[in-house]
Amino acid sequence: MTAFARTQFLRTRLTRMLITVIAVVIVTFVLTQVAFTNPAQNLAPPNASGETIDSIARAYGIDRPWYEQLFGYFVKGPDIQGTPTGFLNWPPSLGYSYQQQRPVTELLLEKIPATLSLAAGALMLWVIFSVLLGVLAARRQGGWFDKVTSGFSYTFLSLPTFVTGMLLIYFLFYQLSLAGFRFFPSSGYVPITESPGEWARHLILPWLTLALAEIAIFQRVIRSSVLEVVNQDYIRTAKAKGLSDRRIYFGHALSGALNPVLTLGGIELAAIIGGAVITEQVFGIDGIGRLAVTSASSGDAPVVIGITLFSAVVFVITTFVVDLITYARSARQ
Amino acid sequence: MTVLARRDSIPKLTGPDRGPKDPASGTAAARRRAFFRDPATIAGLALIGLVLLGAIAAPLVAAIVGHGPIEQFPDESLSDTGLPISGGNGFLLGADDSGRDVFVRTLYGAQVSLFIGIVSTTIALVVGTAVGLIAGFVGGRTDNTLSAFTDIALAFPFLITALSVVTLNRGPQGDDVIDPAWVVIGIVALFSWTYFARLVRGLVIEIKQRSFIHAAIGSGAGRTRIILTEILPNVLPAAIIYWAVQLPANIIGEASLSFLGVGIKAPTPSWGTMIANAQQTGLYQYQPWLLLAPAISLFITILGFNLVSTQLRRRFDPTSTGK
Repeated sequence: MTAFARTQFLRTRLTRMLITVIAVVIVTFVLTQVAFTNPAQNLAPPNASGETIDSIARAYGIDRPWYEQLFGYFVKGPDIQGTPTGFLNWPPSLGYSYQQQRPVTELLLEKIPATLSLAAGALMLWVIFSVLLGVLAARRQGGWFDKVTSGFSYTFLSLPTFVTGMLLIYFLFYQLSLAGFRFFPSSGYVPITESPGEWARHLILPWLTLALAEIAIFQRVIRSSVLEVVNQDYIRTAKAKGLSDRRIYFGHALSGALNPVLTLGGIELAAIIGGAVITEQVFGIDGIGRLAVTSASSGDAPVVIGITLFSAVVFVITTFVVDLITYARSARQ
Repeated sequence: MTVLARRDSIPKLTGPDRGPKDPASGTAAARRRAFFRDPATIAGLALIGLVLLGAIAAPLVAAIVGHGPIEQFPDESLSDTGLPISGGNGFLLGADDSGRDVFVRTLYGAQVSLFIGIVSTTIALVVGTAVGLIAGFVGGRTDNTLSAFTDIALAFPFLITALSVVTLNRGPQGDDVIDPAWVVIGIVALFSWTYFARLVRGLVIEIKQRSFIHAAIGSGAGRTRIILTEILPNVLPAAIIYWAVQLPANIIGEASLSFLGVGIKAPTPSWGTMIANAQQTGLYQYQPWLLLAPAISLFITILGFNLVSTQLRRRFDPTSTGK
């Protein structure tokens, strides 16, 4: 591919990403306008006069027509409770939460570390165990280890995230503490800056919850890609030359098998926010997912739009990065 | 697993089979025979049969034990402190915090799961196939527009958007405007039709090039007729296999929404709500069946469909290579 074609490719991709994100925000904006009726009335005390409700609506800028509000969201709107609105501010602002009485940007930044800790740890477990189990299963195709891991796959693919989480709580928290082993807490979150040990201890069960189903899928993907590769000529040559099994499987075969893993990995990584909503709810972790549940059920439109925007951005960026890596790898080969 | 996972990206759980034993080879009859003889198929069908039996037998069991699914029996099933009593009172798997029979509710839960799963997946199949047929056959600008829609739909976080959509159903008094079951069906279908659309579109583009389509165009058949009589019969088998693949994902979707409190609401028996109830009350510590009965039922249902759909894809899916 020439430099020109490369720029062209990047430009189209970036434009499409931008359009997707903008479309997602607009749809969510309209959706919340329709779904959350009379936000000002919900904020007002019961039996409030029409005048009070109007003044509340004015204070939050929700008395303006929806297109003005949408324009203000993307460009620059009036300040609400001293918080600027719109992307054309520095730093860009996502508006003001009615229910929490705080800027949405501040709220999101506060909750992101918990969700990020959850996602990053789960990802580590998921990658390490998938590679290990997948390659080992491929080495003895049809052997006992292969059969056990296949059963493991079916099991965890057939358990919804919240069921896995509740079962882990039941067996590893409740049953173990009955037996006198009180290591795993059932809920809560401790920031890593406060105590790294406690942070990890509180996150082990949530990490497992999020990672188990992914390991179930990925060790199978890795297994079948590795099997595909080891049957090819260059691996046979390597074998004939007397290369050790470990170098063949974890070196050559694994790197050859990486493309399908990357593609699927990007999709699953981007979808991790959905898994985080459930996992945070099960384990009482105060992150983005829980914020989404509480704001959506209390009709806090600015927060719902902010979180949807956040996860759409995470989605398009991860898919883009994965595409870039796949592309770079294919260009090199 | 991520809720409503992209099922089309999940590989079949079996490895590459090569040579004469390739499961996707042989005549249709031979493949059908092999499909029904495979132990995985038999196990899957047995599990699905068990769930169906539970769903059908639910009213019968309720009549025999004398406990309706939403009836409360606090006097017989709860102790003075309000905790469920275990055993000896005719409650096979105990009661929940309101004194409702967990066993009877679990059986009724099968009806809810299957109904919502099957209806939503079928709607997604119909809508997705229609969109895919049009996008693939007409092509050009129509195709671009429909594909752009699909891209945007994929970028929405399912659960977060679903949470907002559900509030649409809240009337002025905080009550539901329409039955929440239909809202759940709508949301789950809304988030799964795109996979059918992508699958069908890809197939149509391929089939369009074949000679029998050119022959049909040459003999003066209209667009609608070609789509309905020549193309649809050729894409339908793949779409139906895909229906079986998507069904367990949609059952998980319903259960997850109910668990978060925005799907089926208590007292209607749904496995998701029952587990949420066990979590919120902490009652699983005294009454493990409140958690385990719906958890095991969900597991059996999803495992059964996963086993059968994996075998279906392995043996009959024209879009896969039998790996």
